[in-house]
Amino acid sequence: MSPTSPAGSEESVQDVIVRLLDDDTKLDEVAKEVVLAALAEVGDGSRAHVDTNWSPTFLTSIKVSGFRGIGSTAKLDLHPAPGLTVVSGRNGSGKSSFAEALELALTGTSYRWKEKQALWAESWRNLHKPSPTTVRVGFTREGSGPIDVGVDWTDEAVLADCEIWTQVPSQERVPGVDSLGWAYPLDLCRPVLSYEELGQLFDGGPSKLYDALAKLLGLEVLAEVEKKLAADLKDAKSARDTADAERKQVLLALADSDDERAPGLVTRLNKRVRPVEEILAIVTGSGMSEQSVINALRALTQLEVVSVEDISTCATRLRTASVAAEAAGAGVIAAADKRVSVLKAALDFHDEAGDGDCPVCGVGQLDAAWAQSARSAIADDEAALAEYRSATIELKAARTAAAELSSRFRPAQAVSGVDLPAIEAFNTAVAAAGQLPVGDAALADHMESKLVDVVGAAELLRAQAEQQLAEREDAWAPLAAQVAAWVPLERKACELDGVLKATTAAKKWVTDNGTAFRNMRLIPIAERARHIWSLLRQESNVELGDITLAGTATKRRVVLGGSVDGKPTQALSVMSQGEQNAIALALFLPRATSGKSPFRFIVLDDPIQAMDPAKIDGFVRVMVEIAKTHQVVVFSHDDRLASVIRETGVDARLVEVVRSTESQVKTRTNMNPAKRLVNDALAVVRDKDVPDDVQRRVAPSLFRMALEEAAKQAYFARQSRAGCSRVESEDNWQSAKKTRNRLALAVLGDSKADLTDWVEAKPWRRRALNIGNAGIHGAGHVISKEDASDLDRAVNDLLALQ
Amino acid sequence: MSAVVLLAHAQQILAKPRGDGLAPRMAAFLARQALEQIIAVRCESLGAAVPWANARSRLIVLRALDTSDAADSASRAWSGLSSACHVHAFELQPSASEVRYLCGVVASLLPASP
Repeated sequence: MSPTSPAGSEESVQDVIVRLLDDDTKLDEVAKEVVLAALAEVGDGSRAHVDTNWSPTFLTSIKVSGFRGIGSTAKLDLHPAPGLTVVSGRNGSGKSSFAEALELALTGTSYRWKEKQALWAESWRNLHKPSPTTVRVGFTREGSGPIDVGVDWTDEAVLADCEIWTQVPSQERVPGVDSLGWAYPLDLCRPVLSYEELGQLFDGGPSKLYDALAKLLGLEVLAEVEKKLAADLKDAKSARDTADAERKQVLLALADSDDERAPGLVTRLNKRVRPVEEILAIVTGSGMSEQSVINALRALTQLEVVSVEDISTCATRLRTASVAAEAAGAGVIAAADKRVSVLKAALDFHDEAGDGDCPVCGVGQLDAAWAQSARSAIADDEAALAEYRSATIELKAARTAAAELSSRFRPAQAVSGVDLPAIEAFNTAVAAAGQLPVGDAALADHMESKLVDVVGAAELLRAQAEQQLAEREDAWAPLAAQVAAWVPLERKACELDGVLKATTAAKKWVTDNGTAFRNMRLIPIAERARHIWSLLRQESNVELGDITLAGTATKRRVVLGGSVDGKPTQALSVMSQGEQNAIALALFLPRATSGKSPFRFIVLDDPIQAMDPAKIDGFVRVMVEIAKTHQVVVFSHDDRLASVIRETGVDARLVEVVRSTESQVKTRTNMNPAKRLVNDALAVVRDKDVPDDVQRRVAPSLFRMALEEAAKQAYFARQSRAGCSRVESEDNWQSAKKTRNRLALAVLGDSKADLTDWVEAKPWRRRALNIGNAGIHGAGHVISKEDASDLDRAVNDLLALQ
Repeated sequence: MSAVVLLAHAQQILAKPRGDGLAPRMAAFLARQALEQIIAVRCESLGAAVPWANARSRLIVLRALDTSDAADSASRAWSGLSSACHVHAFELQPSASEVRYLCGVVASLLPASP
C-alpha cells in the first residue's frame, strides 16, 4: 500500500472521476465541463485538512495520575516502532484507564464517556487519589521527534473542564491538540478502538457505518461535487421557477383582461418556447394587426382634420374666381375671339394688297388708319381674352380645390365593440359633404356649411376615440408592465436553460456513477476486511462476501453480503454478537491502518471479550500481520490472549498491569521477544536430554538472535524517538549484517563504530557475544547456565539503551 | 504410521460426522502425533537430532536452526493441538474447524518430497 493513496487505491478521487468522464461517450461535452468545473471548485477535498500533518507517528508512553482506576502516577512505556504489545491485567487493574487517557488526550473525549456520560461524570477521578489528576501521552513523529500531549484538571474541575496542551520538548506548551494537525485523520482513521465501540458499530444505524467508510474512501469529494451540482441546479432552477411563476401571474391577470391583445399574448405565453420578441412587440403595440381595435381607435384619434380656415379660404377663392370669370364676359368672349381672327385675316390681306376697299363689306376702306385701329382692337380683344382665360383657369382650379377638399373626408369604420356615438354623425356629415351641389356659389356655400359640419363631427369623434383609447390603455398598462417585468426574468431563465440542462445531466451522471465509483474505491478495503475476517472467523460458518455501499441520502447503507454454509445471505443478520465484534474489527482495522493515516499505532481496548479461543488465535494472527507495519497495542483483561502469544512464540511484548491497594498501578514487562530467546536458550541448556553437540549448535544461534533482537529494539526505539525515518532505520539495520555491527548500531548509532569499549566494559558482554559469534559448527564448549545468565545480562544492557 | 498417514486419518475423522462429538479431539490427537514426527524429522535433517529431549527443546531447536516460518508454524500447531488433546478446566473442547485449521498448519510442515 502506498502511503499517498488512501486505502490502497492507486488513483486520486479526481483522477478516477476524470477517467470515468473520458470513458463516458453518452454524456455530452457541456455536461462534462460542468462536472469538471464542479470538481475543480470543490478542489481535492483536502481544503479542510490543509493543516493536517501526515508524518508517521508512534506512541512512546502513556502516563496517568489520579484518573479513573489509577491513583499515583503509573506509566506505560511502549516500544515506538512496529510490533505487537499486549497489555493485560485483571478487570479493574487500570489498564483501560490507559486507553481512555489516550483517547481523551487525542480527542478530548472518550467513546465510553460519550455513551455513559452520567456514570462517567462521577467516576472519572480516582477515588483514592483524586489529585493531582493528569494525563501525559508521549508520541514520536517521523521527521520531528517527540511530542507530548497533556491533560490537566484542577482539583475542583469536572471532566469536561480539562486543560489539554501539546508540547515539543524544550519548547513552550501550546493549548489544545489542534497544532498536531490530527483533527481530520483522527476522525478518519480512529486509531483507538474500544470493545464498546466495536459492539455498537452496527447499532448506530446503517448510515453511520456508511459514513465511516465513505470518509476513508475519500468519497467526500464526490459528495461535495454532488452537493455543488445540486446547489447549481437549484440556482438554475430557481431562475426558471421565478420566470415561470411570474408567467403564471401574468397569465392569470391576462385571463381577467378583456383587452383584445390578451388572447394573443396568452397563446404565445403558453408556448413551450416563448417568443419573447413577439410578446414584447405585442405589449408595446408595435406588432398589432391593422384591424385591431386599438389601431382603429388610434387611427380615429389621428383623424385628418381640415381646418375651418382652409375651408373658408377655399370657398372664398371659388366665389372670387366665379365672379371674375363672369365679369370677364362670358357672352362676348366667343365673338371677340372670332372678330380677332377676322381682323387678323383682314390685316394680313391689307399687308399683302395694300390700301383698298374692304373685301367683306366693300363699303369701308382698308387703310393705315384702319389697320391702326384694327391692331389696337385686336390687342384689346386679346387682353380681354387673356383675362378671361386666366379667370377661367382660376375658376377651374378653385373648383378642383373645392372638390378635392370636399372629397378628402372618408367615412370612418365603426370599431367593433367600441361605443362611438359620434361616428354616425361624422359619417352622415361626410356623406353630406360628398353631395356636391351644381354651381360655384352653391359649392362654396356647401363647403362652408357641410364641410365645417364634418370638421365638427370629426373633432367629436376624435375626442370619443381618444377617450376610448385612454380607457383601454389605462387597463392595459399594468398588464403590459407585468409582462415587461417578466421578459428579463424569462431571458435570464432562457440563458440558464442550457446550464440547467447540462447541470441536470451532470448531476445525474455523478449520482449514477457514484455507486460504481464508491464500490470501486471500496474494493481494496473490502478485500482487506475479507482477509481479516477469514483469519478471524475460524469456527464461524459465515463467509463474508461483497461489501458494498448502497443507496444515497437517508437510505445510504453498507451491504455486507455473505453466505452461511454456502447459502447466500446478508452477513449481519446471521451473526452472533462475538461474530459481529469480529466483523466490526475486520471492517475497521483497514480503516485504522490505512496507509493514509499518520497514526502508525492502533490501540484496541479489550477487543476479544466476546471471542472464543479459536478466534483469539485468528485475532493474534491478524495482529501479528498488522504489527509488521504498525505499532499495535492491545489491552486485554483476558489471559487467553497473553497465553496464546506466550505459547505460540508470537513476536510480541507482554505487559502486565497490576493494581494493588489504594489504586497503586504498576506496569511490568512480562515478555519481550529478546527475553524469550534468552529463556529458550536457558531451556535448551537445562534440558539434559538435548545432546551436547546439538546444544552447542542451537544455543549460540539463540544467543545471537537474542542479542540482535535486543539491539534491534534499542536501535529502532531510539531512532523513532529521534524522529528518524523508519525506512532509513530499516535500511541501516538490514545493511549491518554481522551481530557486532548490529550491536554497534544499537550502542553507538553507527554500524561501523568500534564496539570494543562497550564489549569490554562488562565481562558478560564479551562472553555472550563470543558464544553468539560461534560459527555454523557451534560453540567450542557446552553452554552452561552461567553462559545463559551472561546472555541475560547482556540483553538487559542492550534493552536498557532504548 | 508415517506423518502423512496420521494426518490423513485425522482429516478423515474430521470429515465424517460422528454422533458423540469426539471427532475434533481424536483428530487433534492424531495430528499431534504427526507433528511430533515431522518435528523430529526436521531436527534430524538439520543435523540436530534430539530424540530424547522434551517438546519445548525440539521447538527451540527449530527456532534456532530452521526458518522462522517453520518455527512459528510448529509452535502454533503444537500449542493448539496440545491444548486440544487435554481436557482443561473452564475451556471448551476444540471445534472441528479449529482442528482442521491446525491440521493444515501441520501439513504445511510436511517435507516437500515424501
